[in-house]
Amino acid sequence: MDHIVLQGINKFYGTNHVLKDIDLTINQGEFMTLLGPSGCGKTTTLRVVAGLENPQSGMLWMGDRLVVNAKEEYFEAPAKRQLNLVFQSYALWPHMTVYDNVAFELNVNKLPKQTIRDLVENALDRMQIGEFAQRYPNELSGGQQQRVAIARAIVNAPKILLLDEPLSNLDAKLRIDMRSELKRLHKEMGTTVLYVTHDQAEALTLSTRIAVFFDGRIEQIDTPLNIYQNPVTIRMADFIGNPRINLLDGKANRMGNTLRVTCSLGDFEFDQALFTDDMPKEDGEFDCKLGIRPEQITLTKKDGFMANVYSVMPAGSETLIQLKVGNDNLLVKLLGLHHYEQDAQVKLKVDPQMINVFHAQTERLVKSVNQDEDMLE
Amino acid sequence: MELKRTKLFALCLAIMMLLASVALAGPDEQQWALDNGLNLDESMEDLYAASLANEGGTVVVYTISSRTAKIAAAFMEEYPGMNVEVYDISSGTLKEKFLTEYEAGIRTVDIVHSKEQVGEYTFEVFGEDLLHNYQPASIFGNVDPSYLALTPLMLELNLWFYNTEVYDESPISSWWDLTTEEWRGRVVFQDAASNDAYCAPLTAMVQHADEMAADYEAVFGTPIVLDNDEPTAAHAFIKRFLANDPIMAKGSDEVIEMVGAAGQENPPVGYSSSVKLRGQSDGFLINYGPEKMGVANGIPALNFLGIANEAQHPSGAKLFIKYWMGGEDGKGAGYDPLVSLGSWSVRPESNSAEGNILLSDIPLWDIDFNYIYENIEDIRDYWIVHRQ
Amino acid sequence: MINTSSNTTHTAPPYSAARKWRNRIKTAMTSPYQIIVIISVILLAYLIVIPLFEMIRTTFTLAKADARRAGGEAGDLTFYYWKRLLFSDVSKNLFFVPLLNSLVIACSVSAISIVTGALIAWVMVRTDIPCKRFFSLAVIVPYMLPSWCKSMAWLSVFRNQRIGGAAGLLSYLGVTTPDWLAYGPVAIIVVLSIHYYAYAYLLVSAALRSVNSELEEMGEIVGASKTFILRRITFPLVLPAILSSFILTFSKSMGTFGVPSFLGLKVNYYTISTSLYSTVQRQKGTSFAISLMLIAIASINIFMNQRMIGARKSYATIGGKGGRSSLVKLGKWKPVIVAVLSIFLLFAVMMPLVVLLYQSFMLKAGEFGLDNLTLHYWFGNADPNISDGMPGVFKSSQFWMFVKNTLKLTFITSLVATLCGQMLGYINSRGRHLRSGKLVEQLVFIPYLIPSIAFGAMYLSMFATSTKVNIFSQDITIIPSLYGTFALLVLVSIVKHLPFASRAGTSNMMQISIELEEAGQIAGASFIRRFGQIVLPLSKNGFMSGFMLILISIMKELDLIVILITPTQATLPYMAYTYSTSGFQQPASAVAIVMFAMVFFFYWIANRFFNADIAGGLGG
Repeated sequence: MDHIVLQGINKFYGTNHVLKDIDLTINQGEFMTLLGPSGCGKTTTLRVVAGLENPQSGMLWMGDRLVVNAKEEYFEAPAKRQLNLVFQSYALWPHMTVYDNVAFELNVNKLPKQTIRDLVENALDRMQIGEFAQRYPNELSGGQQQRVAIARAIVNAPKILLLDEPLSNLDAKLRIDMRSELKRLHKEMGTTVLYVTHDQAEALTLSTRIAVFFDGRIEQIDTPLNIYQNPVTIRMADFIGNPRINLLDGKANRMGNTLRVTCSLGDFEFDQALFTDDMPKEDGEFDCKLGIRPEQITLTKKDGFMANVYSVMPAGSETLIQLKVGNDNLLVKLLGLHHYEQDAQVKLKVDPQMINVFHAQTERLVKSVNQDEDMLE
Repeated sequence: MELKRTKLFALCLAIMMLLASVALAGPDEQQWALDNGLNLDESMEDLYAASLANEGGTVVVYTISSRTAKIAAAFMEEYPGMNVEVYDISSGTLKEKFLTEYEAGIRTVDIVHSKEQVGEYTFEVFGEDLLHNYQPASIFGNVDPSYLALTPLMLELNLWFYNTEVYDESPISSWWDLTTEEWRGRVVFQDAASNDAYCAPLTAMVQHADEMAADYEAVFGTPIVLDNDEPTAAHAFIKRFLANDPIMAKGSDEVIEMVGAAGQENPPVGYSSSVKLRGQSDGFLINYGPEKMGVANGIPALNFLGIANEAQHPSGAKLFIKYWMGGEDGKGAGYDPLVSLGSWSVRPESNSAEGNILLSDIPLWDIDFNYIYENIEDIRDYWIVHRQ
Repeated sequence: MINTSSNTTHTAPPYSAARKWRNRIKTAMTSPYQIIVIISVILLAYLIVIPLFEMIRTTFTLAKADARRAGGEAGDLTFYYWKRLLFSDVSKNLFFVPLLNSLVIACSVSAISIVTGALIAWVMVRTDIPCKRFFSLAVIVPYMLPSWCKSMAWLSVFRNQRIGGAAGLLSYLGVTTPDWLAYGPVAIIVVLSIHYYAYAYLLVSAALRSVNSELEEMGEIVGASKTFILRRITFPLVLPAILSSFILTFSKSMGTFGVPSFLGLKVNYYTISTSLYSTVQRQKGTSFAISLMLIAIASINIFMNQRMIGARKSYATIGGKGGRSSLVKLGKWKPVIVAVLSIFLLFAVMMPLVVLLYQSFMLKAGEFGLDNLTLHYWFGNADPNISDGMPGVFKSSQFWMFVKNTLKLTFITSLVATLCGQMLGYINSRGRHLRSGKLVEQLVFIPYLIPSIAFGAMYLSMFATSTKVNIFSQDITIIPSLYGTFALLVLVSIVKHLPFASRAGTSNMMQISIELEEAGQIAGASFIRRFGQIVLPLSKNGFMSGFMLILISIMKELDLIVILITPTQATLPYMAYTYSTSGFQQPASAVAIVMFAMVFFFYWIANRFFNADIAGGLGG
């Protein structure tokens, strides 16, 4: 088994088209996250991979094995796909002890008693819940239940581990703990992980790659960094990043190898090297939107663009400042604590390299950000 | 996907239903009766031997009476080797069961015992030769020919009962009494819409409407004046009777209970089956006095027996009928359980219960199944229309 | 940087229709859901759709006895029965007057029992009334005694000289009861109301329990008065439950036969069900036409209710975990409310039971004096001078046979019906979004609409004989002749109770998250294993609740089986009913008491040891 390939997957509930032509390849050992707002089809995609839902069209390979061929109505049973799943609700069987929950699959597979014992203990220890083996799920805290659910999923060393919003029921602190736990687990086991979440921080921190879903379609598949720095559409840009990206209206003019953009922050000129495939081929003017991440704006004492401070929101490690430039609002994120008077005048500066330009009509990225190769490991 | 499959199934089902064809018997039912000697008068010994030899001694009976099981038990004791299976079925469903089984080609039953009140058996069953009469002269030689449209077992009647604690003799002597103010709200009847035993006498009454008119004049002294919706004096009676607030019981036993319970100051009279006179032994203070009833008390209900066409055990059936009827001398043990107050054998030579009023002393209308069968639904509707 | 796209390209094998069909068939044969759906649809079509179809056909087919009057041949297509029912001289008395009576009764009974039931439910769930355990048991006792047994008790008390026979208690004490109280609509409405309020009570209290009291507290925080909260928050939240109980009560009181036949027939007060009964044996066409009208009325009623409930339906599960519920302090009203409740229970619960019990000790009916007391009807040997020589019930071999029949029928039927109900509930809950799930849900619901008596009649004519079909000149029996067999009683009882069973099953299965089962599926557990090791253990209590609901219902069942029963298969309700119509009030009372004791005993066991809650199967 190496990689998972979804090809042209379509899924309907009645007339409701929930998955639209999903093409997705998940490499072996990868931590692939499906990210998107609720109802976008990410969980359905996971369930199609798991075999809990059958699509109306499309194919699914696991390695060279054709697992789903919808046209021929061939759907391999979930149990044969050598995968395991952690449910959002954990789905622990309330009438079985922790031990029995984890041992269930091994019992189904009729492994020898001693092997079962070893495997279960191993899994429980790995999740640091060995002491709870004889308890029932409702006697455990949410975090402990979560660990049981993961232990149950990894006990049989699945080739693919599917996780459906596993951390959404935990409180903020536990969530951070479990994130690092999951990251370690992935590294240690080398399992391919398919992870569903609506929490972009989770996606950005855990994944090797992210597939972002909107309305049943994959909008973008890329590394976390690229997703963040070069979202391919305006709504992607708007969805990814907290605080939200600044979007400014502007006028763009392609003149051969250069793009000249005019907006409330002045004029910028960009070189062909950063053009994307969605850049209009012909020379000419078009309306555009400029995407500027709040942390890419700096406030200077020297020359810069004049702006008024609308409000200041200090939050300990960072400070958010809302500025007004003409009719546009700009959000600036500065590290550390800063103080500005409300309505004070400030000067700001932006690195033009770090500006995304979107075509206003097609809403697609036409000029990308220079990838900061240094940040990659 | 699932739905398609269901549609397919529904289609198959529909086709199956269309293909379903009910096989009806051939045209030679009468030939079968002749071939099996239903017109002969074989001796009981011969029948016994034939039954044991050819039919394994089995007889299957559908009956409406719980007493039939006792008769069968006595029979099996007297004729070892015989095995009578008795199915006690309510009179309402017996005919339907027999007919639907017959039409489906099932031939399990040999003897049917039921009660003829409206001519439905005469015309729908015996008339179509689905049941055959068996009337050997050694048994039925002395029976009044007017009963011989069917194979009669015994007769019972509906009669007017009164409460003996309050009345020394029957307080009513005419149907018309029941329409008077004195009996307003004090007459127990049953709903003729659902009970043929009550609708059939009313139908006979319409047939004899002129007698009812004459009786009216005898009771009230003036000729009857009919309203527009009263075609005959009998209709007038039904309408006025229903307007006089009668009480509708759910069954014959309930009639007896309402009439005969002790301690009543103003007890009603009630129309109920004559065999219910045995309620006397349960402490109900009841009696009937049908002799002086004007015109007639009603019509007899005929308990009859019939041998099913193509029955599997004709010899056993004939033997059991002969036994049931009391044997050739009419004194046999088979008829004993039927000897009771309020029921009458059609055979003059049979025993009658002690104290039983002679049938000939009770004024009755003759049974005319032809008339009743043709008209009972009209009378039923007339009853429903005027039920209040 | 990790390779962002796979280089391997996959191409699908060429499409093969043959493989598609092989896969499709294989899926259908191995998917447990599909198999259950297919089997269910076939069985339900066979047991529900065909009888219904037959019923409709009968109303358009001329019967032999009517051939002359209708002017045609037997078997002809005819509108005679419908004309007769709706547009003839007899329509008024056969259909319209009884219909009006039934509507009056059904509306009054629904109104009274819903108000009563809902109030009691509120008091029991939301206030600090004392002795809750006792009261909550006492208020559902009426449900355990058949409604027509209550009318027997009613007559024993209120019977007057109007219809003759033995006097009632009040007449005996010298109180002359007016006719309007003793018989007719008032009596029927009262008796039915003190029976059916239990439905509203069970449903509303379940709904109240599931409504989180925080919703109400929220109202308190914004400063709303208690009555305002009751009216604007609590009431709308339990409205779906109230409408469900309306459907239930309304259809039940439209279709019920026992009570109006005891209290209405004697004074010529007909309801649609007694009119149906009076025609069911002699005039099948007319009778089935009445049944279809009843089905239509029930359908309209349900349809309108669903329009009204609409999106609110899901309220009932809001805050299903329920949780904390702060109780309303009754304060100085406590004694008053306890007194009112006690008086109500005395009248509605204790009186019928005590009257029946006392009556079973009376040597002569109508003599309420102490010197008339006897144990004869319980333990006496046969005495030719009492009740046609019937021995006391405990000395009667017939009685023990009927007890055996009743237990046999009840247990087999409840068990099978509950199991089927769980299966159907499984389909309903797992296939909600599928057309197959909806189809099954709707099919199962049909018996609910058909009045019991008509249902019995339908099965009688369907199973009186075997029906064979001729396929390729082979006779194949598709409907065996079951008349007179015990199997038919079981079958008709199961099918008639399927709606309840499947609702109980659905509400049970809905509580079991589908993910629990999917987790098993992922682990490779077969359907049987999943059902046996995951679903069943988790649905144990729900199973018992559904089982009890059906058990209680069948143990009292009369209307449904009254025309199917043959003498050797009689059950206790049938025995009590025939005794009663034969004028043997005391043995009838004794049997009714035994019947009640059995129901109560089973309920107690289920409640005690399985934590059963019979409300589950009633809800909508």
